[in-house]
Amino acid sequence: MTSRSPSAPAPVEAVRAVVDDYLDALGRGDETHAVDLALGFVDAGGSAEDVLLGLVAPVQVRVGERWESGEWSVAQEHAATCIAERVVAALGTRARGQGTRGHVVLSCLDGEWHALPARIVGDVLRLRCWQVTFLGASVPPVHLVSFLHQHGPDVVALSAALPIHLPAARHTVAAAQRTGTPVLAGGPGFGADGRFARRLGVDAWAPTAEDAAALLDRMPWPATSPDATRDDGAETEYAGVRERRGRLVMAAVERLRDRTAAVRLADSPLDDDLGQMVDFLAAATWFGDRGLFADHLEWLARVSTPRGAAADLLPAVLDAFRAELHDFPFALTCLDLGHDALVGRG
Amino acid sequence: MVEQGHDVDTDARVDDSAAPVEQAPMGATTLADRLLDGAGTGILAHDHQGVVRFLNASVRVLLPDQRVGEPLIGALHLRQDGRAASDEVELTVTGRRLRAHRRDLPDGWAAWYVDDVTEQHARMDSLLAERSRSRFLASASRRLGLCLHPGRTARAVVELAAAELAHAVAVVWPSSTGGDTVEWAAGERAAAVRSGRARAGELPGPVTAALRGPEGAAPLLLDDLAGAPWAEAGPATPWPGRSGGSAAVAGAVVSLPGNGVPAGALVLLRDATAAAGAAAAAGDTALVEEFAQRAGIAMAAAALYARQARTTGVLRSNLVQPPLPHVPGLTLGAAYRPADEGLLIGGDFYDVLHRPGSATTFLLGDVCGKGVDAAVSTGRVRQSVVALGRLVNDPVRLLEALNATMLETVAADRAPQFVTLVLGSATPLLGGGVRLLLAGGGHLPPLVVRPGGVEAVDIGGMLVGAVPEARFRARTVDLAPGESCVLYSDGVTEAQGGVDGRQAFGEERLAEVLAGCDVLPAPGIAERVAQQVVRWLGTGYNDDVAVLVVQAPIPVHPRAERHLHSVHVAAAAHPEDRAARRDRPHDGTGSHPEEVP
Repeated sequence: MTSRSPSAPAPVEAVRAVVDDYLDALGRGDETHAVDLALGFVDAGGSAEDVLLGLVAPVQVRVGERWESGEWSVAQEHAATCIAERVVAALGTRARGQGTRGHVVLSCLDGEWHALPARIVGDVLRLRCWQVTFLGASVPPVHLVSFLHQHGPDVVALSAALPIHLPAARHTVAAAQRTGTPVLAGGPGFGADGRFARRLGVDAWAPTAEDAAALLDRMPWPATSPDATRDDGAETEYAGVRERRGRLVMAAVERLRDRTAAVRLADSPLDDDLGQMVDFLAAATWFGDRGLFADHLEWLARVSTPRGAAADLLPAVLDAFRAELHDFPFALTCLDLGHDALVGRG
Repeated sequence: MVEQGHDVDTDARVDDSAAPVEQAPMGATTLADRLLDGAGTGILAHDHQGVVRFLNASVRVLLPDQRVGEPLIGALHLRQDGRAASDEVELTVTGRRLRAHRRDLPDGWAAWYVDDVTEQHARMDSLLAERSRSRFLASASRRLGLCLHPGRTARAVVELAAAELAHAVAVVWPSSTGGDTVEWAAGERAAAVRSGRARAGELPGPVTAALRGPEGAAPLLLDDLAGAPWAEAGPATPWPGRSGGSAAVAGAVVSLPGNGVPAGALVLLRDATAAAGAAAAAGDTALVEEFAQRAGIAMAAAALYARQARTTGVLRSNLVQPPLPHVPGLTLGAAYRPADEGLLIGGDFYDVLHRPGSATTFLLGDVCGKGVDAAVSTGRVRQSVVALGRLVNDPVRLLEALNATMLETVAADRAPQFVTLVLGSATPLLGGGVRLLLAGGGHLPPLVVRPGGVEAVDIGGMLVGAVPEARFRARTVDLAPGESCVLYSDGVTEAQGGVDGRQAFGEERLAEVLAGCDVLPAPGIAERVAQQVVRWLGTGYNDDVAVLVVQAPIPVHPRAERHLHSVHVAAAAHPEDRAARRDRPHDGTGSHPEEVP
């Protein structure tokens, strides 16, 4: 970093060495220094991909951890993310590929606001000579599909950080595939092993940016067989839970009212967090995956504790949900497993 | 007759049990022989050793090689263990399809009844072929109607044709960008489709003719295709014009019917050595024509859509919200989500006009209505502000001029179309802050986000473009470094949603969202508001949502320890990039002397 000798390109280790300095710059809102750190490597002959995947992406995980631990407020986390987006943009102006390999349109699912991971993947693909159009965060399905009709890209890449947007996205996936455009899925929302991606019927799933690039190299992909294990009961129960979203949130708010004056779980307004709990419950029902809901509860317990939430707050919410969902056998088992997970946490 | 029949039966039985019978001499036949000869079904009888003992007239025609007194031959013969291989046999003899079934007779004898099923088979084959043709055409119709992009549609045509009609396929069509450019897509059975562009003049003659019209269609000579643009990038076979190509290939060029003029040309090449390919080639002219009809309709629809989308795109480019300019000493952010999500235009609008050396003008407004009609009005308002802004700098005077212009330009037979908007000017101050002059035209009050909280700037004012004597007011607001002014449309505060789907988002909730946003840069604030509103809406009713944030750049907190400065050398080496980052002070003091007008 200190020496700028063109004959010795900065290795990945050198990128990793400034991780703390870069995270500190994000925390202080020092965009200039963050951008300088990133561009310094590229100017010294390092690869922009190493900076994206060795510095920007891993530090973003640590930004998330700082928010989870309560060290940073949600606004601070957003500010850090905004700066990271500017860093990615600055890297994009400095190094980009030829765009000769084919056209990839990249989009976050409707309701998905975590745009930075998709932006990074987009730039990695650009550096590998794909022509990439990034449609941004929370893209309405109509917009995505009309883009496909107008521009006829070779692939649609869909990004999701949270699985709650997936059930609604099945129509978007089907609409894209009807235009003959194969769909590539990526992001933790599709499950650590991509199992939700398979359920959604996408054509391919990539856990990392490198994997996405490797998959694109292997086009066309073998045809996927539709998931035969789908059952209509799950679909019905999912629709039922979604329909009761408002009622469930109100029941939980009512249950918590006589406990504490100002209750907060994460940094959002309470009914937002409760609504998201219902979204996770609905998604768990749709996927037939109890762990999905239990994992979210554990996460919520983890982030709400440093924010002063009482330990028995979440069990009370589960009780309120249970009273409203007696006709929903699978959702009830999700609530039970979630309860056990909370108890197990101690 | 009935009694005669009994006699025959008896005779036959006697005959069966008798010693080997020589073939009955002509004219000296029993009644049973005559009856058997008259049967349409061929009948053959053999003894327990597999020696033929009887043949009726029909079977002598159907199986001319079988002889009475000689062992069975061909598919009917007995195995080593003296049993027949099967009781049901299908065989082809001298070009005819026969079906034979076997019945046991007393004493180890057996009879074969042989029927000629050639016609039946032919009917069945043609039925199956017809069915597979229908299936193919149905799947073609299904796939071809699904995409409105010409390239995608051509790709589907190639894939369909390569799976069923030919071994290698190319589609050529006039490019939607006009001129003499054509686009092509080509592929071989079970291979990826390639595509590209070429000049019309480079195309082989028959293809050019087919693009002109179906009249020009002529038998295709393979040499005609030599040098076609798609052959170059393709595999050596079966495309001609490359070494090892052309030998056993039969081809056709078909014009794809469009709206008046052909929508494209379809080139089909079959490997004539493959038997199935040759058979398909013979009978499938009708099928190819049917397919070409469907492909032509799809290609023509896609071309029409592409042309209209291009036109819409050009017209729309003035109506979509503009990218924000880079303004020294200001940080800007915006978010926009129109109700008409497909076109990305709506009745809300914003704009930032930066002219170096003078104050920056910014505006956000809302014309009544939604969708395309409203969007056209927003375009007119924005254009007017750009033009008037060159002459008038003061926001109140600018609003008055806009009001007059809008009233003058309204058509005599139409009601005035008014807008609400906030129009302001921003001037960076020494020390990193920004002075805003905000004028209101009946719009929602801007919100100022400060570390201490969020305050509404009540500027009132009347609707713009409604009455000639409208009055407007302005207020001055100073932003310290990091503080922001948030302009928003009523799509934000009136968004219906929440827990029961019927609550308005409201100014209070907006202020709550903005509280604590003082550490966020302007784009982050705008996105955060849009995010909260879209979450609030859920899947409910959707109005246009627009947010514009004007911010005095956030001061950088001092670092714990000073670091190495080599990167500044790097930045100096790229002055254009330094310019792009100039809105953040380098040294953390927040002073920008060179940028204050």
